[in-house]
Amino acid sequence: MANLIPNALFRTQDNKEVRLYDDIVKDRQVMVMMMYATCETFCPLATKRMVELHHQALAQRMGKDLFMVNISLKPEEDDPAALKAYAQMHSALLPGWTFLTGNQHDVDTLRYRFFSHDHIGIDTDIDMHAGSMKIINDPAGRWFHADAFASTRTVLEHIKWSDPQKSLPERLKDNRMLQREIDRDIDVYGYRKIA
Amino acid sequence: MKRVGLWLRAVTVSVCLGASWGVLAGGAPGSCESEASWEPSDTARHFLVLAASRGVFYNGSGPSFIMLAKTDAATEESEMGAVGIHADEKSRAVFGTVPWQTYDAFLHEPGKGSQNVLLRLQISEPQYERVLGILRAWDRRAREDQLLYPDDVFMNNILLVKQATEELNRCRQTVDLYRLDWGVNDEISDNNARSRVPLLVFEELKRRNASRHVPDSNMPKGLLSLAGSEPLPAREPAPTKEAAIRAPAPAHVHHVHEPAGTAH
Repeated sequence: MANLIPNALFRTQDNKEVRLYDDIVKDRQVMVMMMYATCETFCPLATKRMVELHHQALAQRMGKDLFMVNISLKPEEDDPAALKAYAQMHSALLPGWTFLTGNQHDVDTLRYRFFSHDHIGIDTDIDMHAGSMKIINDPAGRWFHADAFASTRTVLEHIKWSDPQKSLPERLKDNRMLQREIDRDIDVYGYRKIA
Repeated sequence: MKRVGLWLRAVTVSVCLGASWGVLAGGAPGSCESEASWEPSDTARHFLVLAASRGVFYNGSGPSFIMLAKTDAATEESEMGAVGIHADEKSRAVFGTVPWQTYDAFLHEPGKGSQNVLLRLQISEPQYERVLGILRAWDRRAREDQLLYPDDVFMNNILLVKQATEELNRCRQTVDLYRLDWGVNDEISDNNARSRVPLLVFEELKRRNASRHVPDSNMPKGLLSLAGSEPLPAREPAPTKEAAIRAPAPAHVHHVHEPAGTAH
């Protein structure tokens, strides 16, 4: 992952200098989203959605083995104080959640690397990137795309896909549970016959 | 007249890592206030050149790039440079800073029957500085292997063309632009290969802005007479904090991979 993620300098909402890869992503499972403080459309909705998700299902993990980072799309406007005010306004100053601002060059590099649609019109419209999320598992070298506006179940499923691989006994146990559910469905509904 | 290369190797850093956040202050370079208050000089002139040609690469397309030139009769100095697609020694398309030998061919208007397209616009100094910032950023991306579209040199060039041309109208409408957005009305992108899009956009812009094109007869004679002369090295501004942090990256070229057996 180190060669894909620019190890650029950023500042957190607390005005702390960090390196994106070394300090934020390295050896972690991180959800990355982009926003800007003056955004009035998708960003607040996506932030609200993630706050809900945090309280509903992620509070036990956030800050321990799962992290969230929001990177400003307009770093020249969003200083750490502006990001902090945005986070406070949306009750997003939560454990494991960091807001970052840096310089436009690095933000653009990151934006195209993570969220490019290979489309000139969409890629140059910064509002098209709010709500999109990359879930990165650095130790496993995996990343997944998710949509913050998807259902809670779908977002959690995407996070689960990026979770560290379980041990063989744990996977066998999971498989047995899944098989029991399948068997129960078959008992109730029978096999679906395909014409 | 002396000729120097453009300051493309300067590191473009709007470092927001200090305490200097905020929207550009009034009158600062790059702000619309500076453009509104800008007074044309009696001696200095600034030009943006959109240049493209056909039939150089295996797919029938050719170099296409954004060129900047400025000349000052008072100091007898000219500065010019270009960024975009050009041909390497094997006639492959590469993206980055264009060698002066390539853009020199576009110092003069192409003759009748030429495959080249040239639109030359006289712009203000603030416009020049803003477009120069864009060219510097792309030059840096090419050198540091951080192109926004890593697998397609032509996409990077289309984005450069879009950014540079739209920058001219950031503060007020100065040119009649073509909407290059892959939307339903962007017929050029819809009907053509990516490699040909810049050339066709330049042709369309030339058609729309024919009255704004500066012909050879209205160009500073000193600037045109520089064709064929090797430029002096570009002046380098002092490195910024961010430049000092970044390790120098090795030079890197991007090229289009051709199908096996394709003849040049």
